[in-house]
Amino acid sequence: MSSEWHFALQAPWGLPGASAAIAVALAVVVLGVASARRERRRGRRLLLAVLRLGAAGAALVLFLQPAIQIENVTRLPNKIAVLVDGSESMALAERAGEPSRAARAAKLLATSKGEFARWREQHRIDFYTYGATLSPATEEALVGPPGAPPVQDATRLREALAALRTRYQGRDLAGVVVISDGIDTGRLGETFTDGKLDADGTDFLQSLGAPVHTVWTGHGGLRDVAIAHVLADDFAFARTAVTIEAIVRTVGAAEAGWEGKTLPVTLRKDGVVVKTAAVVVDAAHPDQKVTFEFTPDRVGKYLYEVATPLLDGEAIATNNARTFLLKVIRDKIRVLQVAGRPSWDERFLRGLLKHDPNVDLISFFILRTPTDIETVSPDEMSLIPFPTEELFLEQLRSFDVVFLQNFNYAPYGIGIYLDEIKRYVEAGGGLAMLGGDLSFTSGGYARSPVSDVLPVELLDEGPPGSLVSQDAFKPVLTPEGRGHPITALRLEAKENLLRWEALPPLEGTNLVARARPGATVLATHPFQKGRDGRAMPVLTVGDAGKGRVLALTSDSSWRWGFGAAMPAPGSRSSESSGAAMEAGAQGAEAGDGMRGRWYQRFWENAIRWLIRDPELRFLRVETDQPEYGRGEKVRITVRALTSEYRPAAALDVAVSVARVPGAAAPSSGGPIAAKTLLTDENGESVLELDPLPPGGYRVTARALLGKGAAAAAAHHDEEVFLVRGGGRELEEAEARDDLLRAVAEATSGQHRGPAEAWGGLTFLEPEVVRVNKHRDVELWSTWITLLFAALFLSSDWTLRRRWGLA
Amino acid sequence: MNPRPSRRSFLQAALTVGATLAARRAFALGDRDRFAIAQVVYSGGNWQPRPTALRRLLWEIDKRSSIDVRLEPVEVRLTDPDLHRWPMLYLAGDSAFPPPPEPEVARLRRHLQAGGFLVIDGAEGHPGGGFDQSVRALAARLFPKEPLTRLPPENVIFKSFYLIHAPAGRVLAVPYLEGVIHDARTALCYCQNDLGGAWARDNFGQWEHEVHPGGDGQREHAFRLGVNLALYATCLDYKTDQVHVPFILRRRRWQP
Repeated sequence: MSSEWHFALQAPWGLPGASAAIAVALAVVVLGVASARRERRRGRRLLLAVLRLGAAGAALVLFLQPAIQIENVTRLPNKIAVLVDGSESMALAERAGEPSRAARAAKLLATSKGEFARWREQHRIDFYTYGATLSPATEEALVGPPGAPPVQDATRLREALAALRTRYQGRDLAGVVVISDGIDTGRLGETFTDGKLDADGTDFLQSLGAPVHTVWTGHGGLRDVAIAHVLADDFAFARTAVTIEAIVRTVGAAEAGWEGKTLPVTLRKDGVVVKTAAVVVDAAHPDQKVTFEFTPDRVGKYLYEVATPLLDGEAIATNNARTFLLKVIRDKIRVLQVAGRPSWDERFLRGLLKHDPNVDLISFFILRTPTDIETVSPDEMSLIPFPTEELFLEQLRSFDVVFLQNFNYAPYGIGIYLDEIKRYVEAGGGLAMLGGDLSFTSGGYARSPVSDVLPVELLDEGPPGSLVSQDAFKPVLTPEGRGHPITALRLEAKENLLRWEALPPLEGTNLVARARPGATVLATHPFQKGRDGRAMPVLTVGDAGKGRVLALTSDSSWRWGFGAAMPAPGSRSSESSGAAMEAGAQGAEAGDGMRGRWYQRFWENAIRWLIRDPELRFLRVETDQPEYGRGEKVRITVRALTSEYRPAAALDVAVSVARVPGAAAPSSGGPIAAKTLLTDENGESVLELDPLPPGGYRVTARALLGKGAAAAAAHHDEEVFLVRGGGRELEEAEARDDLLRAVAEATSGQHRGPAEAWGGLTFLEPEVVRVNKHRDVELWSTWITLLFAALFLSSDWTLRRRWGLA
Repeated sequence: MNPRPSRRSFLQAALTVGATLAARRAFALGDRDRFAIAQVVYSGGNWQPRPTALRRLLWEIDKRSSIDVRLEPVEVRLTDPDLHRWPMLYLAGDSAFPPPPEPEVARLRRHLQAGGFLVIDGAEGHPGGGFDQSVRALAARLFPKEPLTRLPPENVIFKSFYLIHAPAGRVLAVPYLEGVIHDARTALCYCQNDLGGAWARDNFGQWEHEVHPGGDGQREHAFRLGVNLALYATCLDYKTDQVHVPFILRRRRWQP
């Protein structure tokens, strides 16, 4: 506390009163001087002027009432913010056995108590840690014995200073002291090039209005190999080549003796090595790019890891591998349509698939068989050889769905590839066999490898007439078919059933023995019986390995499109004018559209089911985020549907979570969490896990079904997720002081190296003053003032009367 | 290890197996589902100037291609409830015919918009006749916004089975086909060269009409065009798929 004084006027009426008084005093003086001109003696005139001036001045003093105000004040200390880097890189030591950068910072703070005491004479010190965010801290915690190592996965100095500025809005900031290793992964670091801050960064720092002093806790000599950066998109397209670039960074290679050493770099997918590359360590080129090109074959979410082995003397083990998620999506659904002959069924399915923007269609139709007459040279025809080897051996697995449409394989030497078709399905492909006189048993598929994956059991060979029925019929939906996504032409069950009943009949069917055990029959023949005495399946679906198969024993589903699109004669639409027909072409009045809405929907549904559209899975397990930060809880949700695609309530679902093996941990080491969940009435259940260590994880859900449950393989699902580690923090682990130096320079602060004493830092003076007590010493209310006033007035009046001037 | 036989062995196997299967002709699921061409019956005018033409064309299609053909042509009226059973329609004539009533035009329009294919064959032997005028009036009513235009040489109809350079019929009245392109597809194809006249053959195996000026060679090209029209109806733009393009281009260059 101290005393301060200042001069004050206590005149009434404030400034206007004082101004008026001064004006009056001046006027009195001027009049007095003017009236004294009649006096011829100069000495008398001078004396009268002095007396009038003195009288006016004395009167003015009495009116203005000047005083000295004396105040006892307290100066509020302003704030010094000390920011200590709490990011993960501060846990590093350049060499084994050395204290970490964080330990150095703690030691620095511990030995600075004297300096802090000096600062506290005028300032108050607030302590913070910063990294990804700014957090208040205490001096004791920062200088005390080391607890948990710094773990923040980013260093964002600018963002921390911005938060500080907000925190001190309207208050007095004396200055900032930043203690860090100089690594910055925020905006400052990103825009810091060639040792200079950009204009925006400089403007920001100067807007703080206080010096930022920086203290560097790192030093050179780091020895490390890191996967510094991986350039990969978040998603890729299935069966389309993907290029991933990784930057392998070596620091201190010459000192460590790694020069010329060959480092293997591996790319793993879900723990399995996919590609391997190599880099030769070159101290002159610390960053070396490795490129991996591969083609993901299946849709899904996968954990990939780029890794190098740990070398002797490396400071950091955790940055030798980098894990990332790659979501493989489908660009277009690749469909192979193979038809044994041109037909209306083939024509309308091709028309539908070609119009679907989501489908990439490859068609192969047998336009001429060996028994057809050849009257002209092949050069005059547009026919091409049937590329059997390319289609069924080399390219088969690039398709999502294969339609074998009334296709008999034997005349074209394709029998030797039927095994490949079976393997394709079992590996996850979709297969649809459509009926016709060249299909099912009539196409020679009985006892063939393809018959092993069909959802129906075929009849043995027999006379052609015994293998087909030529009677027209309307298929009957089974209970399973009434709720199955393939047969869901309308959302509402009753409307859907009516819609199916309204479809034109099918013209004949291939005869099959029965549905294969485990298959789902969606529609049956109204009067044909299978070998088991039940209604013969017409539309049947089933799983085969990882793939799915559909069997439709008719070749006239095209009538659901073309036939349904044609109104009956005499109907309102058929009588309508041309313009109205154009509107009808949109499917408004006929309800079927020009391509047959229901035909289109049926096959779109079928394709979605065949490719295992995730929306159609019976059991789905999902995490609420694909990636988690350190310390975040993991929320896992399972959703179960019945085979009729209704919520499966009260279903036990076993959920387990395991590490995905990687370079650091070649084996998953068993589940780290396992629990059986019971689904609620919505078919859902949730499992929440406490924060997990960084790494990749796979969560597996399996419905625990009774013995009678079908399609058990379908009641299984997996999901992968990632818990992030150090992020970019350890990409460039070498401590650097250039950014800290630039920050200090931009704010008129000072930069201190690790070995420098950090005393002598200057801060802004406190500006905020609080007045505790004040008193006024009145200068006018003294007898001397009154005496002077009386003396001047009386003398002036007396002499003027005597000299005849009054 | 997967077997990787050579193409030559494929061919041998295909021919061998094909020969053994030759006796096993198709046993279709339903006769009504076989490929057929339905001739449009209309009132007034001569709807069937070449009564035996379609039967012969269907026979040729059956023998030359793998299409499972219903050999008997179908006659259908535009008012027929079963019109939708026949995606490929054939309308012929040699004289003017009265404009069909609007409901019939509307049904035909809907048929073609839904995926049907109409081949119109003018038997007059010259352009600008009564039938030609009736056809143009009908086409304008069917597709008011999509005019009848000449089909360019790259239209798939010219390469759907045979490689065809110019349309031939009983005569060579015009060196082009006309058509209506709807929804990126040729929904209507009009030929004025009397295709039916070149196809027509009596029950004794005699050609019913002389073919001018090219004789039997021109008749063969008329059949090729008929086969191509059938293949186009059933395969659409299959031959424009990228996989076919190199083969077709190569063969086009081989032509004299």
